[in-house]
Formats: sequence, structure tokens, C-alpha cells
Amino acid sequence: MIKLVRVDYRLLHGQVAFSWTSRLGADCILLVTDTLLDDPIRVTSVKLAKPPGVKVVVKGIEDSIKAIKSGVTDKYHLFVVCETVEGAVRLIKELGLKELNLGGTTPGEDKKELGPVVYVTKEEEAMLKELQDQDVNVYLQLVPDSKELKIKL
Amino acid sequence: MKGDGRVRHFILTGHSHISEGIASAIEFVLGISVSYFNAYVEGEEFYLDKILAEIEKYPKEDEIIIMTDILGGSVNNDMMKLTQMPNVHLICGTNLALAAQIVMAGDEQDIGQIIRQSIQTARDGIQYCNEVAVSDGLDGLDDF
Repeated sequence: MIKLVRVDYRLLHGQVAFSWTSRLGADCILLVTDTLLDDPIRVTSVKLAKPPGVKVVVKGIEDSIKAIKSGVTDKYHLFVVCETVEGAVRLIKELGLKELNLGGTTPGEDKKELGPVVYVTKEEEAMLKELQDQDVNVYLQLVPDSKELKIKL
Repeated sequence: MKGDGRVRHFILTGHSHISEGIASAIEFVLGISVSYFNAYVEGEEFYLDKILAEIEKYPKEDEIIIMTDILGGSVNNDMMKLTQMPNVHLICGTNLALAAQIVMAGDEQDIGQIIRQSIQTARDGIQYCNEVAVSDGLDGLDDF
């Protein structure tokens, strides 16, 4: 069962590993990234940040969608953390999910700030708008105890 | 609050602004707000008086967990006296990992057990990162 899908370029870090995982009661975190394995230092950091008693699985976008569709993840309380907006949007659409948490993306010159630590390009903004039009609840929330911030796209 | 009605109170304290800093980081990472008492900050009332006044407010059966910055420092030395109260638990050498684990632990487990486990995990989290072996690939990660 998927507990939550979140966009967070930092993948596994304090807010994810501690706050969200414990609040969601997640026993497995899926990191959806096509770039992590290219960088040994980042991979090592993820391994060091692994919270005790929780599985951490790393897969690319396509493989993540395939794995979830196949049913192998059904037995888990799964917390999905996507490195990019694009990856999250594809996953949400393919799996027909109805909720997307925006937790953090990198800033950039051509990007618009949607709220604290969340910046999107025009293309990403359009993708999120499309999700909203399909009645997906897209919101900003850094930690579970802060309020969900609805975004207007 | 626990089933038996006893409440746990967490107090951070230490030299200058260290406890305020840890409290602020906990608020950022976990969204939990924790009481802190800066010691020896100019313009602030003496921290010990403030802590004693705070503790007075709590019912006697409540559990009070005080986390200080450093063993042997004057703040921890002052707090040592309070351990004569059976409901006070004092921990020194507090860092973010330690404080975060303690304040987010559930109410069901015994506080002594939580403290002992958290100290061990926080110790394990102190590392000379240059000497941590870099390991690429999926070894050490899981699969479904």
C-alpha cells in the first residue's frame, strides 16, 4: 500500500527518514531516481542515512512504476520519494494516485518559487497543473506537523 | 500523554544559545517544539531560576527529561542536583540526533530504555566521514 508520494531532491534525509517515515508508519522507502547510482558519495550518504528497521529501495522511474504495478510492494507500507517532479508526475499518472506532496526541489534561474524550498520550471508547473485538473491533491508540506499548503497553478 | 496519565516534559539547556539552536533544528526537522533555556546569555534572567520555576509547574508524577550540552560543564553540574528528584532524567552531551530521538519516541516505552537506546544510536552517528568507506552500487540497500 502506498502511504505517500513525495517530491524531494534530497531523497533520504532528516525530514524524510525521521519525521515522515515515523508519522506514516512506513516500513519501506522507495527512492525514485535515475541519477543516484552514478554518484558513489551520494549513494554512500543514503546508506548512512538509512533509518533503523525500514527498508530502503532505490530504483529508476520506469522500474519503480513496474515494481509497484507488479504487486511486489503491496505488502509494504510504502513511502515513495521522487527526486524530480517529472518522475513523480509520471508515477502518479501511471498508477492513478490522487495525492502528491511537494517537499523540495532545487532552485534555478528559470524556476518559479511555489513555496518554501519548492521551485519549478514552466514545464513542471504545467505537469502539476495537469495533475490538479485530474483532481490530484498537489500540496506543499515540509514536515508532517506543518500545515498542508495548497498551491494555485 | 501516556495511558497512566503521566506527561513527559522535555527541557533543553546549555551554554549560550546551543539549546535554542537544537530546539530550532528539531522544530525544522520534526515540527516538534521543545522548551529550551539558554544559560549565561546577556540580558536574560538566570537560567537555573527559570528551569526551577518551570519544573515547579509540573505535577510531581510527571516525567521530566533534561538534556544538557556537556559533561562537566556548569550547566550539567547545576542540573545534577535535580536528579535527586525521582522523576527527573538528566542526559548530557546532547546533540541533534540524541534530542530528536528522545522527543519523538512514543509514550509506551519506558523512558529509561528510550534514553539508553537513543544515546547508543547518537554515539553511532558520530563519525569521521572521510574515513567512512565509500560504497557505490546497491550493496547495503534493499529490494522488495
